[in-house]
Amino acid sequence: MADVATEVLDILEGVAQSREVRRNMDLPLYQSGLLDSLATVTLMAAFAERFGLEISPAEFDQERWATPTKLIADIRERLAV
Amino acid sequence: MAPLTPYVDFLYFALLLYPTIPAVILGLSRRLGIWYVLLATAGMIWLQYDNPFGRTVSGPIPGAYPLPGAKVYEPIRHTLWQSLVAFQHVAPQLVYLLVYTAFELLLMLGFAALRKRSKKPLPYYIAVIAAFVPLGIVKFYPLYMHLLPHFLNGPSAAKVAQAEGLVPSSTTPGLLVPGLVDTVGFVGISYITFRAVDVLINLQDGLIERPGIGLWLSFVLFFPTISAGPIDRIRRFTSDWKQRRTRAQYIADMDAGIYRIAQGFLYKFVIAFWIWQLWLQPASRTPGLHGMLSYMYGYTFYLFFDFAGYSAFAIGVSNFFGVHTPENFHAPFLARNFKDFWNRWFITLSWWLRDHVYMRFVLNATKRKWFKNKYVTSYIGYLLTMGLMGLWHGPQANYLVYGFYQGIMLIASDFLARWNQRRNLLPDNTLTRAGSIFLTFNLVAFGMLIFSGHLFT
Repeated sequence: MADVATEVLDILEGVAQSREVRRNMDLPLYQSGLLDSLATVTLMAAFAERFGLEISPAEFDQERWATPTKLIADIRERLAV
Repeated sequence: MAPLTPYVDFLYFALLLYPTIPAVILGLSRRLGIWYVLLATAGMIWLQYDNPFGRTVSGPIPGAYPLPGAKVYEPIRHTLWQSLVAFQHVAPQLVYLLVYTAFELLLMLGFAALRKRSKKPLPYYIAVIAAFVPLGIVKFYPLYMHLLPHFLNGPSAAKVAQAEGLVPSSTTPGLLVPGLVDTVGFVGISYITFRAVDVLINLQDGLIERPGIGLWLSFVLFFPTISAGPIDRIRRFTSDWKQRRTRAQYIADMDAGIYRIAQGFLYKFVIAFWIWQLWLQPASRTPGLHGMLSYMYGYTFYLFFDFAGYSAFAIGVSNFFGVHTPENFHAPFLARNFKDFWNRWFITLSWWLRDHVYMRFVLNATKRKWFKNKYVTSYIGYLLTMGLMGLWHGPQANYLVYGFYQGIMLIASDFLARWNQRRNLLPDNTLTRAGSIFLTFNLVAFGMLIFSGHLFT
């Protein structure tokens, strides 16, 4: 399961173009301006390609991906189902 | 017998007390359920759209129009035209609303049944397009109604129809056209169509089970927000009914509700009213650039206080009926760029479009690699989204130009922000922040001038 975390962080680092996301797992991704709706969609497309996850923009909720920790937890939960 | 205008007519406020008092009693005793919302909605919709108290002022039914042209088609033309005229006098808005609701409900039930069997995109696209058809008929009405009398009766009848106020004159833009909604639509159709489509999208994505008919009706028609939003979402609306609120929670809701209603009175009846009287009216009569600029700023403030005031009423009244209607405004004139602006101005519309148009488009385009560059994808998404936003207001030139302008401004502000980030040109300090707020406000105000139609008259 550690692999999922690493891969999610790799994808996140690429999309947010910031190394800070690795160092601070509680970094507020949206409030800090690192992620916006374009970045969110880019993440969704990357997760679809990498994990085969279909995430709908209609359920887009900044709260669920608010920090790297929350993002990883959400992806793990989706993969577990 | 014009319908009542919510939060404008004094009678509306008086009538509002009748469903609100039982709601308070039910809320305090933890018995407030969706059944009561449905009941109150049915009653208020009847009072609002049929307005039985306004019957005495109804005018005479217009007489037959002169019908020149070929004799063969005369009876058909005559019947068509007369039924169009007569329909105006049987609480037409209520009739249209009921027909519309039945159509959208059947569409939702039909689509939900198909969706259970497969997730294929075709039925989904057909359902979404069909859900927009009634809105399209209403919005494009001014365009084809100019042509229809010509087809039916020839040019002279078109003139008569215009004189009777049946057909809006081509020079008056927008929603303020008298007789427009009276004739083929009802107040609020634009707003509730977005709610109906929200249900279809959530069904397609498997995010909700098919809502019960009672829940669907109370969500789509929820009377405090029926006429002009805020545009709620089915999943958020449903979450309000997951568990009964405690007495203390209901009291807190009432508390917030009373505050918002008071804010509505202040914004709409005091501030917006005085801006209209003392600023906007004189400015609209002032010629030249000075008059235009004065009108631009006056209209921007007027629109904000009028619409934010209306939204405050709608949110405040919703609270009494157990619904936490989402916020529509958040200090929009403090926005630092256009993206920030759309997170502060008419939030429920812009977030609906963000989630259901922009993000869907960009996700599809990214997955299928339609464009090489993700910023190009995003910019096309902005133009598409804001173009639809303009069109949603109506097919008049001022709205279409407004949508295009907003799309260009979003692109420009994103482009400049990224350029600045790469080159590190401007530091982030109090001065640059104040500068960007000032610049954004002025560009926003120019957008509102386009929207107002004042430039086009």
